[in-house]
Amino acid sequence: MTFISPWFLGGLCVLFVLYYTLPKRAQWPLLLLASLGFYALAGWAVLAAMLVTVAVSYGVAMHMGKLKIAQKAHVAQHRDAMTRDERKAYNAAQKRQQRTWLIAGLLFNFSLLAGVKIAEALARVEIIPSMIFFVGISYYMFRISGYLIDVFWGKVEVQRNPLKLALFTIFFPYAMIGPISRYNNVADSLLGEKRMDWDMFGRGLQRIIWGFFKVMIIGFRLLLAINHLRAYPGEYSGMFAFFTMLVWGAYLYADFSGAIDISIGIAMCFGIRVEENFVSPFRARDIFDYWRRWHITMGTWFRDYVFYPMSVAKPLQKLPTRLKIHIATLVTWFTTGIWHGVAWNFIVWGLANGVVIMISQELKPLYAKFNAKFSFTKSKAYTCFAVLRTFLLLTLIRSFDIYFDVPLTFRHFASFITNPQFGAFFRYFGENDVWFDLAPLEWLVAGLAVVVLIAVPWFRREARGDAPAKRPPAIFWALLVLAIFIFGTYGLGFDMQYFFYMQF
Amino acid sequence: MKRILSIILAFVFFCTAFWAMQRLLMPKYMTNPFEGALTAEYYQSNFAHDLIIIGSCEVYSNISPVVLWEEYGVPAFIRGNPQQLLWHSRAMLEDTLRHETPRAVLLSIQALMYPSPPHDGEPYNRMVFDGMRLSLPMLRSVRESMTPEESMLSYVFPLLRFHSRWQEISREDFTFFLRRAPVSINGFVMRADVLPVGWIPPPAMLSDYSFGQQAIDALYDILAITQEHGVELILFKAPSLMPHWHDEWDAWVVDFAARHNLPYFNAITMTDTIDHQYHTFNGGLNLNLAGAERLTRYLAPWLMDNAPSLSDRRGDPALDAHWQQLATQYRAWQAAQEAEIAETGRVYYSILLRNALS
Repeated sequence: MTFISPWFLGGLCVLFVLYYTLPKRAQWPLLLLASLGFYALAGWAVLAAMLVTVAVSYGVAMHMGKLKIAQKAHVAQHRDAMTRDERKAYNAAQKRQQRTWLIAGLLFNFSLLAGVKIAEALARVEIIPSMIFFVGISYYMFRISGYLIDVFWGKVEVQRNPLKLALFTIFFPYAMIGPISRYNNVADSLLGEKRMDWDMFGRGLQRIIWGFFKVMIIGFRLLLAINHLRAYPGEYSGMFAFFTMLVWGAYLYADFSGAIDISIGIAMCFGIRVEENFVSPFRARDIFDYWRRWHITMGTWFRDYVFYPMSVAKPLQKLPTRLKIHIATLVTWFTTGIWHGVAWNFIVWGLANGVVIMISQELKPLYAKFNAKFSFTKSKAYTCFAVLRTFLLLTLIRSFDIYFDVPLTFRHFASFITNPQFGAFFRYFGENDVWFDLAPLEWLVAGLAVVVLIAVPWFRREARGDAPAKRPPAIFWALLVLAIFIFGTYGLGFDMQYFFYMQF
Repeated sequence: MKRILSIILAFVFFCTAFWAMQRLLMPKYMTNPFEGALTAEYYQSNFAHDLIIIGSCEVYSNISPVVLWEEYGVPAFIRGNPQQLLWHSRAMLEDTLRHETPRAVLLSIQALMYPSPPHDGEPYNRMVFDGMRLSLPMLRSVRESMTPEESMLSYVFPLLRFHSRWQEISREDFTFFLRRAPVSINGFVMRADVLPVGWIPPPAMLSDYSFGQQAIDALYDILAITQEHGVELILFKAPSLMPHWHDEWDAWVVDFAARHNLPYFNAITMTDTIDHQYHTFNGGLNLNLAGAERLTRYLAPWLMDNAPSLSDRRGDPALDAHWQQLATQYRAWQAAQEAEIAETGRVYYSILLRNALS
């Protein structure tokens, strides 16, 4: 069951009513029950895996918490009796013990995640039979593992109620697709008692509508064309392949950010604020800027829990600073690739990002000099150029996920030069009544929707996140809902229930 | 206050626009397949009917209500749709009983041969239900008829099913936006042309001649409903050559009718009356106008003898006037079709639309 299912939407309405009519102390247990039900519908094995993860992580966090309390008590009790060195040695020993527990907890979580990912990869190449779909496993594993690391670092208090920890881990709006929330960012909002806030509820509904607009009018529609284009990869090379990459970018953005909008919107309707995951990513001026705008919670997770710890890790301390950063960058992006799946396309995608970031890092002083010397770099035209350059670069990198075939993707890159097929590409539109499985009118609808998508946040500069920040008039939302009903890609003949990012 | 007002206005706007778009995008069934308009036509009839005829194309093109009235005084309405399965027929009966209580129901039992909803049954489901007024029995029947890809919600809000027709909107959708034109006369679909029977596939030997449980259950439901409402149930099999009606099936129906004391009229044996070289417009599947009138003249006396609830109602001024009007329309359509046959050799669907618009 996904956000698109009428059963989900119907259940959600019932849940809203119960949430705001039951006593406030029943709010978080109700959300937990709903989340458990949501996972149970995905399969009992999925629910069991999630519950075991929460149970183990709870135990590890509690134990680390006890060790911390005992450590503090011991130090306080023997403050006068211990020398500074003795205290330091004692604290270090205690920290080692906590680290052992942390590593054990993380090893358990990531072994389970790796097992599922490897099994999925083997099932994909039919070495083992296909298995059940562990919906959202990467997301909740990262959420709970982030919590464990934060407990170890002392950034958050240990959650003593295992049920509350379970709710943080599997809260159903962000269960399937993110964002990858941090405990200290959402815990108060998620576990606290809430009054009905009509303003927030209204904004949440608007966010949900906006998400559906992206997913159902643009995302699912473009996926029909992409499925056609990638079904004949040999035929569609050169300009066709480039066109596929552009469409893929639009599809991926509409699909993923739309699902995130729905996720955030549902949480807002419950009075819960979760982190933003997108901020107009196609306005990014360089790759650093892009990763501050696209899948933000994943980027910050890897930055805080992989990149930073690696940068200060003892084994790398003897290396020159730049080399250290480059190694940390490559390892971080390799891990990011693996997080998406045990497949070459994801690994190459991750490494490609890492390499481009490394090169950009090296070129930064040159860019700074260049920008200082030439004033036109401050012009709007140059900004547009930088945005377009970044867009095209990321379009190429992103395309490794289209075919799940790295050599083929490289062959398509080469075909831009060796066999561009300009004539055939433009003739195609004149000679065919249906363009890549979509009628011209369907392309027109998708195109107009993209214009609305770009226009709405762009014309409102104060927009935070990928939703209109200013409140458009109610009639705008009524029109948008009507447009979703009429132009949405759903119903008989369409099996569009799943989002691309649900597989991770 | 201003904000609340704007929300209310937006909501009203949305509901109105949703209704209008649903109305616009739903197929009007005024041209091929015009049969989808049959269900809704029932609600246009303001006069009560003594006999309701329920079934598939085996009834809606095979029995002429005008002949039934003019020659035997039985006011009848046909509630039929293409490929109308027995649980569809049950929904038709329940829907009818919400509006009137007829004296008798003539039920085509041909659909007993279909054990479950066919995989390609969605268009037929739509034709049966799109024009039907929303009710619990209707939704129950929808649930039983749906193919796995269908959704119940799309029968409550047909826009969810037909929204993708925005690319196919034609003049017909605007012309019939508010009002539909009739495509039948009291449920009777007239076809005056002839397409003689050609090759008929030999009947297939079946390993099991049992009917499907879903169909049998629907038949028992229909029996119970008619008994509950004091309506006489009459079973009927049309004289179609295809699909083949096996003797084993017929024996089951004969036994069922005997056990429940129901009259059963099997018209397959009417070979002396119906000649499929002249009395069919689609190679023996259904009867044309001449065939339907012949069958009606054959069936009606049997009905009057075997269904004591039916009587000659001619002489009632209101009914006479109403049926006179229907008969005039009937003759006009017949004349129009005969003119087209003389010109082109057969009836095209366009003339049905012309009939409808006349």
